[in-house]
Amino acid sequence: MTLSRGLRVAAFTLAGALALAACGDPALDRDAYHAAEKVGELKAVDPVDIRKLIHPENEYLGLAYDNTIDSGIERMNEFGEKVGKPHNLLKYFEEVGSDFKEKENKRVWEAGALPFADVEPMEGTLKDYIDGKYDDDIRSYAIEVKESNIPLAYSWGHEMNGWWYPWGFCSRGGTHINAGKPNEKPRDEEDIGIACQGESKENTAEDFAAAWRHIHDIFTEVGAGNVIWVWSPNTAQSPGMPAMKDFYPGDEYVDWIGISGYMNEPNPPTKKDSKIFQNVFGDLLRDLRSFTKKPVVIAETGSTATLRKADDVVNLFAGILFEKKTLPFLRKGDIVGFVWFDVKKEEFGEVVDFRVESQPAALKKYKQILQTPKYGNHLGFDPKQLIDDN
Amino acid sequence: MTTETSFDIRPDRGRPQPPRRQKQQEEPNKYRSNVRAAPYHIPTAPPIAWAPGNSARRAWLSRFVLMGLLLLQGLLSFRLTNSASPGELQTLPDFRTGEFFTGSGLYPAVADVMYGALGLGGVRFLSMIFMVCATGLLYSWSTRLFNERVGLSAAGAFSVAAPTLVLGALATEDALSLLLLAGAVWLVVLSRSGPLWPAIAAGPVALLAVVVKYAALFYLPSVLLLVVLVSLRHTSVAQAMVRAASLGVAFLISAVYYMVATSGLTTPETPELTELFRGWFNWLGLFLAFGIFGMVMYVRRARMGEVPNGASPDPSPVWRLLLCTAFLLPALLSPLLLMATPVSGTLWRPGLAFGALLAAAIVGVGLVRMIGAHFRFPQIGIMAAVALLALGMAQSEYEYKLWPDYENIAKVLDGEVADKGSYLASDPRTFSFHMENYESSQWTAIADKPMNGATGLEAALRKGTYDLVVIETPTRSDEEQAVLDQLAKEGRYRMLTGVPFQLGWDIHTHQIWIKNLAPVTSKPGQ
Repeated sequence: MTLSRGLRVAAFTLAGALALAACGDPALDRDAYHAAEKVGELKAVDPVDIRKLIHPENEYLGLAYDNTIDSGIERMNEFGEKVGKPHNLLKYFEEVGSDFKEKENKRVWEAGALPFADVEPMEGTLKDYIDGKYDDDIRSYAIEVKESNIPLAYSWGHEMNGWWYPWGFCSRGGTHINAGKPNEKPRDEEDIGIACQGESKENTAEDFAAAWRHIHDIFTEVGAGNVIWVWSPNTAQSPGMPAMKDFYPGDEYVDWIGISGYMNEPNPPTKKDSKIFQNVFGDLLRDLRSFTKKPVVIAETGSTATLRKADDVVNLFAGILFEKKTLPFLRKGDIVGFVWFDVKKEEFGEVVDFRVESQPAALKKYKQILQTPKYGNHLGFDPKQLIDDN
Repeated sequence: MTTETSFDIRPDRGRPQPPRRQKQQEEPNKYRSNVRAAPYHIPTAPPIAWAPGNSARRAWLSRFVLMGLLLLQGLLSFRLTNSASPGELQTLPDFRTGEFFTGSGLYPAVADVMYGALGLGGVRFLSMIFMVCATGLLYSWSTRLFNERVGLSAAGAFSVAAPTLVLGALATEDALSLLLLAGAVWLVVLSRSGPLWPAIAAGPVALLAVVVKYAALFYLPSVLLLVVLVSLRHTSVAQAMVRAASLGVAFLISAVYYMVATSGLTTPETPELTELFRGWFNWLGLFLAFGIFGMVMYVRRARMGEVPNGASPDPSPVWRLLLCTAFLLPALLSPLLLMATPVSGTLWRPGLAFGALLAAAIVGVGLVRMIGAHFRFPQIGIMAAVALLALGMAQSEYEYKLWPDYENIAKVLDGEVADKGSYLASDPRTFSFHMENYESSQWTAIADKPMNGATGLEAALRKGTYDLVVIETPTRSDEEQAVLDQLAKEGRYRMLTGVPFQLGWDIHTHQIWIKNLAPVTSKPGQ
């Protein structure tokens, strides 16, 4: 056998054997190796027990801001000084794919507030999330949350039952107008059928629930038990929409029902509306209570009213503190707090001011309620101290 | 034996110099000769440029390289970290659950002593030493049968193979049994043309290998064939019979012992044949491809080096084929042999090390033949070495993660359990080994099917019987799944945390569930 022939035989043997041996061996799956490696390197920590935070004795006083978390802390502290009571729930917004901001969230926690991440899947479709296209991003985020070992309220894809976000409900290009309710005519342009007519997105309620469960499973897989899962529908439930229950991933996937609902300026402006709380939150809460008993947090609220803002503040506090009286189908303690969206922003081409302090009378009323022991004693607490007292 | 030849090309100093010519004045210049004796001496040229035999320098250089390989093997085994595997727990005192069925009580007795002195790490270190010594013996017999180059290639290929690395990191009886088997082969090769005693001693050593691990019996026919072959080549038929007698008797005794010891044992189910073949193919496919290449090349041509063998004639092709068969056959038949091997837990692939040990010498021949004479194709050797190393590292790491790492869950649980409390877990015995605050009376194992199975457990959870539940996900049994469903379903419990771990490259989690708190509120009356 000549050398060159020997070389050929050797080379073929080597290449062939390698190809065959490597074929189907799970040990050689490089992607799986790297995915598992991140988890395998996690160190054991004394896990934070968040049970007391899910149903605390006192109510959460929350604020939501745009911009950075640090600026939120600053504005939350300023607002707390103005009204004479520190707030203990700070909501911020971020997009899926960004890292968990451990240092900033720890600063929120150290400042005496529970960080509340409102995570927006601006990229990709719900089906992408179900199919696992963003699993790596979510897994990295979940690992960082777990490693931080501080409590985190986490809401993914809030206001999913509205048409205005990329993950919001919109199916069959709006051809489902009045689905199931053929005798009812579309009321206005907010009607989901009209609103998403011509939209290319195809998001069903079942898609949202499945995507939520998929994301929850990833958090569970890495062992992130320090998360309060906040499922956040909007009060704008228009005709032609699927039932709220269809959006709901199930009690085992949710800790809080977080409702977004705003007290808007009527036309013409009025000075009072004693039924505003019932009118904004009542229908949705009744619907939700038909299939879940989970605690409710008003995850986003605010008032754009001018003359009525102080009254809105009073009605909100009354609704929160006396929920059973305001909405008889609720039980005492069902609502565990609220988050005031304290922002002035441009929305649909119009500048709207949700801030309490935009109306001095509203700020005064807010402060007055907090300073009245009968009410104020039940509002606000230090979540860190609550846990440390264990 | 040193047959190195030195050739001195320096001028011969000290030798009697030829007498200087006297200048003959009387002779005319035209008759004077200009041819003079050279001032140096040219020795006789040797017939070959290399020494055919072993030289001391070559031997020491090879041993130096071997030391590097053994060190590498030790390091590659040492890098594998995980908590005690179910198979290891079988060998450790206080943690034996059920009968130790893969061998006699000899290894557990050895492990007890080491465990008492140095703990689990000490017993694993012992295995690493056994495996490194086995590689050393492999080098020794491959060198004696062929040459250093083959010895180093064989040791190199075996030292980075996944089963070698895993067995070197497991506190099980396999490593000791494999070392004893290697000792038997080494003694056989040592006695090939020399004294009789190593061949006689090989018998008891082989018998001991079977006593330590019953399945070592399957590899004794190869050793028996080997003793016949090497004795026949170097001695007479009568001598060969004498030399094979000890091993023959040892084989018969081992076979009887195996049957007696394993009869009546209720061993776990062995993996399916397709799985055995797939695992064997993935783990030894490349290794054996080199071995088969080596066999083909060796049967075609006996000469192993660049120089003729000298006085010793080449063995016949039939002898060479039989030698290759003796070495390669157990590895080729490994899946079938492993079918009859009692395995504790799911770790059956490290058992391929026995076949790999015997096959390694021929694999070494294959590697040497690929590289060619005069290191004609070193790139092939480098490619083969890199491929074997990469496969061995990836596969051994994967295999060593095929049972959960219980250390993290044990640390977390130590902080959660209290003196009074009732706890439920898939199998608390697994992590109890690593816990400091473990009290067996507080724990209930789902694996023991308490409360009359799934329905009873669900009812117990609805009542909140257990203060804490540890469950592995994905679950492994219907009872576990029922428990997990119940935990999530009614809100009585909540996941405190999950402690993830790797199973191979899959992620599994030990979830810790604790009782949820009843809703409280300080709100004014409504």
